[in-house]
Amino acid sequence: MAKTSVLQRLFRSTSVQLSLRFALLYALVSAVVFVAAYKLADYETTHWIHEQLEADAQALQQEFASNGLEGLLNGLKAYEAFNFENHRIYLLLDADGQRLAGNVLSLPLDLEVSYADWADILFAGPNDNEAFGYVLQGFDLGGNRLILGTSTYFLLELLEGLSGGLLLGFVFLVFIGLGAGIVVGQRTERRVREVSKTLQAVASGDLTARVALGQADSDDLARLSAEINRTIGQLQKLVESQKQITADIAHDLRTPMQRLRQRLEAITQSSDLPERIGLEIDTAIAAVEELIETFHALLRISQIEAGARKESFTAVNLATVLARLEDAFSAVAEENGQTLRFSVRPAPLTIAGDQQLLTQMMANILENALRHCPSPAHIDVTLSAGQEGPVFMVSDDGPGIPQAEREKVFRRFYRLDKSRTTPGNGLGLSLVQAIADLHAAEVSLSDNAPGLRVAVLFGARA
Amino acid sequence: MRVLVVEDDRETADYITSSLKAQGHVVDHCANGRDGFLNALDNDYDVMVFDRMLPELDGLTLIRSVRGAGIETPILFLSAMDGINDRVEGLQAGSDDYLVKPFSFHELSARLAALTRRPPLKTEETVLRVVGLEMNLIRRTVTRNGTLIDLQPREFRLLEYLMRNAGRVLTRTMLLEAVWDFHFDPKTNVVETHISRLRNKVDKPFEADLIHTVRGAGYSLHG
Repeated sequence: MAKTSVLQRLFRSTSVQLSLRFALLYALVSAVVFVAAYKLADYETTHWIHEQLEADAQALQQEFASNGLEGLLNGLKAYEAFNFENHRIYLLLDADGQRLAGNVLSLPLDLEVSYADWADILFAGPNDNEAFGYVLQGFDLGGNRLILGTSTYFLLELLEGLSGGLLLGFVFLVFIGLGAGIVVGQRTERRVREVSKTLQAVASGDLTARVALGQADSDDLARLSAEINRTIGQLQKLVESQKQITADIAHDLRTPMQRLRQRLEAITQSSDLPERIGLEIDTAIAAVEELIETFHALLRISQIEAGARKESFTAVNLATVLARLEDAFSAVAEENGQTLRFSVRPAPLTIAGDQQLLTQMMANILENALRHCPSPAHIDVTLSAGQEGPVFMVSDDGPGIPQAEREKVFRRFYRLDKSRTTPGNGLGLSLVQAIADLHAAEVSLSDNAPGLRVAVLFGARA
Repeated sequence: MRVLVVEDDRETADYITSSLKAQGHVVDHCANGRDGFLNALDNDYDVMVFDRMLPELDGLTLIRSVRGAGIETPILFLSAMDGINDRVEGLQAGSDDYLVKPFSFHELSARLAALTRRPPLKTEETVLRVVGLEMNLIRRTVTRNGTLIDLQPREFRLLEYLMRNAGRVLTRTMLLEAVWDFHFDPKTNVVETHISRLRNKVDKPFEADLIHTVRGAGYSLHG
C-alpha cells in the first residue's frame, strides 16, 4: 500500500476539494465585480467631475453677468484661492484666443476635447502632479472662452481604495473559505476513514467491528453509518449461526470417527488375525484416515476464513520458509525426475503472518506442481519484491489448467477431470485461497506457455 | 512407565488405557479435570495425557494448574481438530506436545515415549552413539564403524533426531514436525524420500540395517 501524507489525503477529501473550487469561483466572481466596479466608478466620477465643473462655470457666469469681466477675474481669483496643488486648472481666453487669466499658460487642445495629460499642459507655476490627467470642460462667456479642469487625482484615489478593499476582501475570504473547508474536510474525512476502517476490519474477518456513531450526528453520513452497522450485525448473525453448525457437526462427528479408528486399530492388535483380514483392516483404516484428513481440511479452511489465527500473527521471513521448502522438496523432485529450481531476489521479504499457515500454503502450491507435472518437468520457485509486497511464484511446464477452469479450481472439492485418478481431496487450492485471504494476499493462476504459473501477491489486497 | 490419562469420553479413555496397559505401562484414568488435578498432585507420573474439553476443569486450566503447582511432568495435550489455535494455546499453557483427535494409537504411544525420554537438561552431549554409528555434533561428522559418511545438512538433522530417539518409534508426523517444522500433512512423500536417501548412505554400504520401518506406525533407529 502506497503511503500518503496527511496533506495529500486531506486535499483528496471531498469537502476540501469543494472549498477549493469555491475559492476559485469566488476569485472569478471577484475579478468580474472588480472590473464592473472600476468601470462604474470611473464613469460616475467623471460624470460627477463634469457636474462640478458646470456648477463652477455657472457661478462664474453669474459673476460675469452681474459685474462684467472685472467681476469674472475677481471670481477666478477666488476660484484660484480654493485651488490646492493645481488639482484644478482654469484658463480664460478672449475672442482672439489671448490668455486673460488662468493658472496654466496654454492647453494643447481645442475646446471639444475634455481630457488632457499632465505633460501636455503648460502650467503657469510649478506643478509636480505628474501622475494625473485632467478632465476639462470649456464654456462660452460673452465671446470669451473659459476652460475649467479638475485633476483625476480623486478618481485614482477612489479606484485605488476600491481595488484595495476588494483585494483585501478576496484574500480574507479565500483564507476563511479554505480554512473552514479544511476543518470541515478533516471532520468528514475522519468519519469516512472510520467507516472504511470498520469495513476493512469486517472484510478481514472481524465481524464485531462497528462504525462509531457520535451522538450529535444525524446527517446523511450518520444515517449511512447506522445502516452499515445494521448490515454488519446481520452478517455477524449469519456467520455465527453457520459457524455454530460447523462446530456442531465437527463435534458430533469427531467422537464416532475416533471410535471407528480405535476399533479398527484394536482388531489389528490381536495376534491371531488371518493375513487377508489384516490387509482389509489396513485398507479400512486408510479410508478412515482419508475421511479424517478431508474433514480436517474442511474445518481448517472454515476456521481460517473466520480469521481465527489473526491474533497469533508474527513477523515471518518468507525467505526462511522458502529455504525450508527447498530442504524438504528438492529431494522429492529429484526422485521424480523433475528439475526444481529455487531463487530468492534480495528484497524485504518479511510480512506479518502465521508461519505455519504460510508454510502450508507455499508447500501446497509447490506440491501441486510436483504432483501434476510428469517428468522431466521444470519447476521454478521464486520469491521477489512486487509493487505492494513480496511475490511468491511457482511456474512449471506441465499440463497447466485450461483458462475456463482456472477460477473453478479454488472451489471446494473441485477437481479437474484428468486429476480425478490421482489421490487428493480437491481442497488444496481452497486452503491456499483461505490462507492467502487471511494474509491479504492475492492468488493468481496464469498460463506459463506451456504450463501453469501460480503467484501469491502479498499486500495486494491491503 | 506410569501414565495419567484425563479424558471424559469413556470409549476413548478405555481404548487408550487398555492399549497402554497392553504395552506394559501403569495407567491411572480420570474422567474430569478436578480429579485429574488431584491425581497429578498426589502421584509421581512419568507422563500425563490431558484432553482439551473436560468437565469441571477444562484441559487448558488443568495444564496451568498443574504447572502452577510446580509439577514438571511432561504433558501431552489432546485437542479437537476444530480448534486450530489449540496447539499454540496448549504449548503456551505449559504442555510439551500436542495431538489432534482423532489420532491413531501408534501416534499417541510414539509421542508419549518421546516425551518420557527427554532428559532433564543435563550436560549437553557432543557425541551420539548407536551401535557402530557415531555422530559428532560439534564437528558435524558421522561415521559408521569408523567409515566417514557424507551427509547433507537436512540428512544430518534427520539422522540426529533418529539417533536422539534411538530405540523409539518415530511417526511420519513427528519427523515432519521435528526436522522440517511442518505442521501439516504433505501430499508428496517427503519423509519416505529422505529416509530412503539416508538409508542409502547409512545402511546400504554396511552389513546390518539400523533404520527400521515399523509397519503402520513409522520408523525406528536401533541395532
